[in-house]
Amino acid sequence: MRGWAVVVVAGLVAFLLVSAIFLTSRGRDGGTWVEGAMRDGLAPLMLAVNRMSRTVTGLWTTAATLRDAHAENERLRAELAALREENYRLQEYRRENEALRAALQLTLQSPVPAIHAEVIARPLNNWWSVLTINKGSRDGVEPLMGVVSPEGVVGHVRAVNYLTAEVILLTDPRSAVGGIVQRTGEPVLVEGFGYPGTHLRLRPLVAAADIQPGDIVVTSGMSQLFDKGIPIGRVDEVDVGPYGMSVEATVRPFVDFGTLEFVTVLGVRPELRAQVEEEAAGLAAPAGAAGR
Amino acid sequence: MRTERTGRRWLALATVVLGLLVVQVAGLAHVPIFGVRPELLLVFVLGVALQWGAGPGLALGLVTGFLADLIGGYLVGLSAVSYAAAGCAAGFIGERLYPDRGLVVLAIVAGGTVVSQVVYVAGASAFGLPWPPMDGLVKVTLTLAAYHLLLVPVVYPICRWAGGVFVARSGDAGLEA
Repeated sequence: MRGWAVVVVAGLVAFLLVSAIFLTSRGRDGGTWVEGAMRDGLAPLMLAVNRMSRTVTGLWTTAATLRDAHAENERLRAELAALREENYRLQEYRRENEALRAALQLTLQSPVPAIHAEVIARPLNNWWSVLTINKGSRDGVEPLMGVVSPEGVVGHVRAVNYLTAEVILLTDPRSAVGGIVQRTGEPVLVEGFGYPGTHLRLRPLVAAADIQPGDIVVTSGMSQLFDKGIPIGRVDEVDVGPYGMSVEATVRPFVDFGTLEFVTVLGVRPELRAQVEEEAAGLAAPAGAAGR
Repeated sequence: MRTERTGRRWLALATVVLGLLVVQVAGLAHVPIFGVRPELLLVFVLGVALQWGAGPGLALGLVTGFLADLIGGYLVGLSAVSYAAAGCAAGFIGERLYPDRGLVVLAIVAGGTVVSQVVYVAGASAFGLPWPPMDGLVKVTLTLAAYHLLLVPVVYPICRWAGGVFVARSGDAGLEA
């Protein structure tokens, strides 16, 4: 009798587990209240442990790199001078661009609202590329918002809780972003690769694309997640298929995902939000009229 | 009185599991070896299973894996399956070998790590994750096993303490019977 009870309980547990895995294997904007409560509840503790660990590893890294500090300082001074010069030039281009857009009567886009966040946790195992940040719906974070760092594209928001949110990195197999090759302007699709998480896969969207190692890939601005021109990475290797019929390349991202500490979540522009709401209202109106 | 004491022990065990979970995702995440981050909870499950057998190993693996999955939010239940499989295997072997020999502990932790990773990747691929390249799978699994071996001296004493909770429980059951 006891043997049968064990078999029934084991079967029930197995059924529940398989069902849970199946249901959570599809795209979800958020989680259940249990998941949300657990993540939000542990968030302050994770933040504290994360900061403590970062301080300790930071001290260690500082001590290890102290002897090279002088040479690095010199290199950074030179780099800063070069970047300052480039910045002056870019500001001039920007002024010129705004004047030309005004002359052509093109509307200027308002700046994207930005939410700055701190990375508080990494994934539980080594097969997913996700981060937990310390900003959630309370701070205006929504699913499918783009996430960037000063180096370039990081990924997008997947699930949002009240105090925290989960960001899927560009290297995750579930991630993809539209890009262009900066040298040629050819459109490409940049996808996550999964492990080892250091490279991305690039697929051109046009036949006989001209892609060379060293090419820089930036966002195309075709999606609503990212503006045009945010750096993604540099082409590492180009793999031409049989008879040159297909081209595929690997891209090394500019962002070092392993050491990422702070990110910026890109909000939705007010005009885009208004447009979406208008479209939603337009769709709802006939339905409401039909109902009457 | 005894029930109260047992309750406190279980509460302490739950606190330890949650503490290890937080240290895993927020603390040790900054200390990767060759890009690989450890799974502290898995080492804990293997250590407890080794001392107290396949049944407790399976149960603890299921519970801790499921808790970990709730934080992860994707394929919820798969870590529970992989931890339970590793815990059950470790407990099964632990019942047949002397589990306090250092070499046995190290071998079981390394073997359990490999089992859990293979089970997880196989399960994930069944539900849509592309199977990782073989060299990546081998590199991650072996590095993770080596990392876990380094963590054994720190985590194993906690496992021995946690094992006491199971002893208290079986002792109580015996007395009640």
